[in-house]
Amino acid sequence: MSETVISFNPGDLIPFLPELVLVGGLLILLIVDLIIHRNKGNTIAAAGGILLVVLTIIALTGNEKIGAYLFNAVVQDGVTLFFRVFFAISALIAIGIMVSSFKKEGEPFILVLSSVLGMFLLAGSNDLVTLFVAIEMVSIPSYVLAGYKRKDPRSGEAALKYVIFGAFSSGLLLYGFSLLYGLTGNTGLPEMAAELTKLSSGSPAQIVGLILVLAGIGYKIAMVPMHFWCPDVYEGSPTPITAFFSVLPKAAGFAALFRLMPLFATLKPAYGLSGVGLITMVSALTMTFGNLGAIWQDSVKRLLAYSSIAHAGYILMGFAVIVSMPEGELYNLAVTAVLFYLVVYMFMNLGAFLVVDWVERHLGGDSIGYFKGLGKGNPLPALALAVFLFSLTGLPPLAGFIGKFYLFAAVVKAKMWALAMIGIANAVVSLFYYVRIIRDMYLHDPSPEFDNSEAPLKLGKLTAVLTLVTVVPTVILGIWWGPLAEWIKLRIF
Amino acid sequence: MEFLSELIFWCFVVLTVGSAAVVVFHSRIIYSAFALLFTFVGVGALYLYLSADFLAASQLLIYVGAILTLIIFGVFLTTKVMSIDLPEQSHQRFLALIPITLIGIVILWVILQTPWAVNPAEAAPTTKELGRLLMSRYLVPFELASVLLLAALIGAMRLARYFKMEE
Repeated sequence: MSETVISFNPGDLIPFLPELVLVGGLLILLIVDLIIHRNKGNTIAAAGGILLVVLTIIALTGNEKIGAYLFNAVVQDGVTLFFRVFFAISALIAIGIMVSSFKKEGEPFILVLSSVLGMFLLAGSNDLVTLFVAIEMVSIPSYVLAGYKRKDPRSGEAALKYVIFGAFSSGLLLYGFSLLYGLTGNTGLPEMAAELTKLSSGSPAQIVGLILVLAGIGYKIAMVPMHFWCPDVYEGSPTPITAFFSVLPKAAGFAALFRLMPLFATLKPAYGLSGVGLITMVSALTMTFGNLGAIWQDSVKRLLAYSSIAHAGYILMGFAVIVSMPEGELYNLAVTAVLFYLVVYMFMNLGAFLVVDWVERHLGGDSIGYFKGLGKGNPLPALALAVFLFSLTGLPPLAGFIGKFYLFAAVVKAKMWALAMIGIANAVVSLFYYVRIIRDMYLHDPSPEFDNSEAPLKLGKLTAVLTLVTVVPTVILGIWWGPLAEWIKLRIF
Repeated sequence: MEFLSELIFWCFVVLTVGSAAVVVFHSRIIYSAFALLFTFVGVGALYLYLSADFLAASQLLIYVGAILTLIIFGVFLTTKVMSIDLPEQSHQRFLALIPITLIGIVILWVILQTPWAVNPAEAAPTTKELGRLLMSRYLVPFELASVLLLAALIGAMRLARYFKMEE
């Protein structure tokens, strides 16, 4: 046995600074929360928010691409840099949405921050073990957050469903990992990809292992057929938490998929299955199922849950292109498209949930009936929601259109005609259910059965600010998207 | 000697799978909990056959010693749990056989068809190398796991805490 001395390079901790600040801040927040009088969760939230801003700035300025570090367990490349900033900004907005609902406690914010820590590490994981622990770090606080309204049985149901599905898919993921490890004898992702490329033809363990890994990650991004938990969990969880779920853990799943893409790219066509074919198939299934499911929904939260499934399908189209082209111009286009879409999706989806949460807090429910006549008494929030919904549909001149345009451009350039056709058909179907809400808001009168009158509801300062923060990028990015696309390209390539 | 080793191996396999079947199929949760004990012991023994001595020891200490005790205490302390019969009937019992058989065939096919990256077993202590790996290659996940446990602890306390209905 070799007697090499473990040499630790303290310089390795510098790119790890955002994570260290987050852990340190988390512990301090926890202690402060205990010392300060209870019922002051808001102070904690504010502190947590500031902490995240500091983090964002650190992640934005001090870092550059340096490759693998800390004994090759983590890597810092363009994808890591992008996702860290992305997670920090979206966590800020999500925490902002939470402040109005969790006035007495600090724990939800601490749980959200620890979940964000898992996402940071997930975006940088270079090893299967790091990847798995990071995924659990994202999931476990989420289970608690889903069950936060203990008086509401639906919230308990959401938590239980989330846990059981989560445990099941973690099992699938680990089984897939173990098969891949058995093939390669290594847990480092680059080494594994190199070993898998050496295999002559697709071996059964490689195929089954990768399918299982895709299923395990697919649970996080609510990919068909691993989506069953999604509508129930989104409906039962407290709405601000649903807003968090619909963007952050989902984006974390995509970050993990980015890390695993080299493994999927090694899958050569065998037994009628290739990496590209696999992802194309789930992408088409996911968007079709999500859009068809959304049509029948009466609860707006459920509707947005199905819509988020559909959006995962659109983003997976980009991944199909990425797998087919491991490098080159098309690869760059597809990566930019996926990351751009994630940013756009973050703003419009958080914004939509923000308005839904506001309506729910004032009127007491999220059924589509509560939105009837919203445009008459409360023109501004209704307008904001309309903007988010049009953007989710992908209508110009809003950000959602540009996001979809980038994705479809990548798919068409990769000559995946069938996938492009399915995607466009889906975008048309989605118009139907998004517009249904907008029609109800503007063309219907308020119905007494949902006791919404034409009297304006109180719009808090924080809600107003957050609405602006989400509406402005949704509109601006639809007209002037160049800088963001350039910024992403600068980070990644 | 070879034969004896093989025989003991198969005994442990039967013990593991058999008790796991009891865990799944028994209708009383307390029987399932006790059957789990034998499953854990059997898995620990299988680790020994893979010359993973440290893993086997920690399997016994942590799973049998701690986690299982906790489960059994949980069962005892939960009121009325002794009288709850888990629903045995499932409507699609025989329908479920089809996917299960398919999955079983696929897993068997994978195991038999794959050229695994095999390491020759060495009957040497593994603790030193494990310690090295935990302090170098797997340092980040190792440390992250402690933060994960902290988050899980906070979450568990929040869910289990006594709460007033005013909430």
